[in-house]
Formats: sequence, structure tokens, C-alpha cells
Amino acid sequence: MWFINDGRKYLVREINYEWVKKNGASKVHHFAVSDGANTFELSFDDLELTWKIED
Amino acid sequence: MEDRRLILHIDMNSYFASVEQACDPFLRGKPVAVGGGISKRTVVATASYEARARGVKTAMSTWEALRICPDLIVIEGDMAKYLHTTREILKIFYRYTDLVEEFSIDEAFLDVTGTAERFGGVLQLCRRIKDEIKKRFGLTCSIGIAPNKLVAKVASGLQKPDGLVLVEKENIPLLLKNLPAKELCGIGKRTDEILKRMGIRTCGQLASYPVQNLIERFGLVQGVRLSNMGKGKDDSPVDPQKNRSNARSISHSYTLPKNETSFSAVKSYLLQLCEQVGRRARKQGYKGCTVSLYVRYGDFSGYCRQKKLKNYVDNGFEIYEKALKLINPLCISPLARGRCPEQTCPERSRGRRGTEGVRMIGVSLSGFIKGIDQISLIEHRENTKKALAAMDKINDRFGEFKITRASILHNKLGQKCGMRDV
Repeated sequence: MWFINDGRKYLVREINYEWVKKNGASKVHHFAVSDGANTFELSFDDLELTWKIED
Repeated sequence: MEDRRLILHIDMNSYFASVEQACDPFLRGKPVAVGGGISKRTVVATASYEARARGVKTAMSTWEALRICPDLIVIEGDMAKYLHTTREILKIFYRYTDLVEEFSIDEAFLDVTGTAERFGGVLQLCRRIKDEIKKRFGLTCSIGIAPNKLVAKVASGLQKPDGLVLVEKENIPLLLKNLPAKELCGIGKRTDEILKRMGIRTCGQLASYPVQNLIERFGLVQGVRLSNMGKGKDDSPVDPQKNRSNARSISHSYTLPKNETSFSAVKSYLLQLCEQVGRRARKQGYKGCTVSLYVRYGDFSGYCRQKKLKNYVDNGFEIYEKALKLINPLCISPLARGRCPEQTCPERSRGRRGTEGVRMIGVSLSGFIKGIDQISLIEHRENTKKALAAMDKINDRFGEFKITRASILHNKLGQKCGMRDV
């Protein structure tokens, strides 16, 4: 799995943690991931079917 | 029955900080504090063991923590993350027994009297629980095993982190003999001070103190209870129903970004908090008849006032109108400083200065009834109910406070959407 942030491609090497938050009727699945050098938090809204890179 | 019970107390180690270290490998092995974030007005909710070794403690102010540990990594807490983890950990517990009592977000009691043998004995059962939590979440816990909840909780605190302590019934007197009485769950600061004045500092002294004297000082129920506690006796059951008990009050409070001397700003925050309380009350089907207001000033003086209403409310604005009557604007405005005559300012007459603005404000609704919704004969009240129901539906669908009153949109509290929805 990979994603692009600021024009750069990152390969997800590890999923360190995952949790679920409710936002209205949506369930937003959060993933703490790393590519070996950097960590990111990705989220997936299961109602909107969209991915987001969290701050 | 108490002799043969096997009670576990499971306490997650440095919970919030450990979850954050599990999320981010680069935090592991480093001093981490979880709280309100980097701000002079926030405190440490939990510190990692690395931070604790450097002197950082729970409830310490963030600036003090950074002073004693300059390379401390301060993280703003994410309650939804921790609550989700707790729910998943509880599912693990329920695989071993259905008698699980959630004591707090990071502690639980389990009664495994009837199930331990199925898993190869209580120690093996505990090791399995620890291994599962470690494997699934990367978190450690300390487990205390004893014939009752009181001693199990003491036992879990004896070995941290990642402890496993079994206390047999015959070893309870030795364990408690020199243990400070305040270490027992249920003996708080005030009771401990009274006990000290009576010459009781340890559980052993409490156990041997004449129970009649304890009854005379604390009353029959509390006196007998304290005597039993000193002896390590506790026949309270592990009660899963406690997890589902009805709320007795709903409250929200907020430490303001700066000590606020503007009454209109304080009113804006108060309205936001009242809206949050009303929203939660409506979600749970409650209406309340008592509104309480808490105010803390910049000099850490403050007051709490409450008012019983003639009718039951769940409308945030109605709660706000009642709470507003409990606040004294004279004690907020700096113009009142030195000019507020004592006969008109109850706070000053009670020795409360309140001259540095408002630091924290809180509101609470209590005195609940549930499930009663009477149609009002007054048209505008019915219209207000319909408007609130429509707002709730929109916020249910799109998230908290996606639609709200215009006057609180600029609040930082409003932007944070202080109400958790998990």
C-alpha cells in the first residue's frame, strides 16, 4: 500500500496501531503507519469512502 | 464465599503514553507525556516510565514537567483512541469470564473463580491475558490476584510495569501490616487525615483499632467498613452492572486559554458548555431539574452554586439561562477590583478575591428523569423542541456541532468540538 504526500510517494511498511472514531454517521478508521523512516496517521471514512492524511 | 474467590485487578501501565508509543515507534524508549498539549495551562495526564524516571508526574503542570525534563515529548491526548483501545481490551477480558467490572478507562476487575481452571489455573489465565494484550496492542499491564477486590487492587500496584502478583488469603495480614492506610482504595485524603489524628497510619493499625471507636467517629456503616478494610476484608462482588449504571449528572468544564476578564467572553464559553450538556442529555434521553455552575478564578479561588428548577430541561439554552443567574459578573470584570463593596459581592465577603479573571468554568445538569416527553401547550416551546431535534439529527449525521448557535462559532472550545462522540 502506498500514498502520496507533498508530491512524494510513501510505501506503508508497518501499521503500528489502528482505532475507530465516530464522526456523525461515519465511522472513521484511523491507522498509525510508517515507511521505516517517517510516521503518518491515515484515516478512512467508511461513509464518504475517502482517505485522508491527518495532521 | 470470599475465601474461595479469585479476583483479578488489571491495571494498564502508563496507559495513554503507552498507546502513543505503540502508535509511533520513534517515541518508544523516550520520555513522553500525554495531556492537553504544549501550553502553560495544561497538565500531564499520563507520563511514560521514561518520563517518570526523570521526575515527571501525573497532574504536574506541563511547564513544570518541561522544566525538569527539557527533552520531554508532550502529546495532546486523543480520548477516542484510548476509549477504542479500552473497548477492544475489554473484549479480551470477556473471553475469560463474563464477570468484568470496568473500574476506569485503564482498570478493570475480573472474577475468574468459575473459569480459571478451564485455562490451566489463574496464573496461566493471567499470562494469556497479558500476552494477548501485548501481542495485539503492544501494551503491558499489571495484574493483582487476591480473594477480593480490595486486596487485588493493592496487589496490582506492587509490581509495575508488567507485573503479576498473587496474594493468598493467609498472606493478607502480612501484606497489609505496614501498608499506609491511604493506599487502600476507598480511603481518601480526608479520611486519612482523620485516621492520622487518631494515631492510625497503617492498615495493621487500622485492623487492630477498636471497631467501636471507629463507629463512634465515622458512624456504624463507615466504621465497620474501615475496620474490615484494615483487615483486608471486602465481600463486594465484581459487578458488570456498574458498567451500565444510569448517569447521575452530566457536566462539562473548560480551562480557558487565558484568564478571562470579559463577561461577554465568559458567557460565550458558558453557552457552549451548556449546549454540550444539553446535547448529551438529549442523546441519553434525560431531562434534569438541577443546574450547577463551577467557577475558578486566576488565583485558584472559586465557587460552586446550584439551582433547582421548577421544570425538567434538556435544552442547552434553558440550562444556560439558569446558569447565567448563578454567575456574578462583578467578580469577573477588572473594573470591580477594589471597588466591589462586600455587602453586594458574596464572593468577596467570603474571602474569595476573584480579581484575576476566570480561569475555568463548568456546568452540570442533574436530578434526572428519563423517557418522559410531554407535549407543551405553548407553541414556541414545541417549535424549539422541533428545532433542537432537527439540529440533533444534522449533528448525528455530519458530526458534533456541525450546526450550532452563531454566537459560539468563534470559540476555540467550539472549534475543538469539546464533546466526544465515540
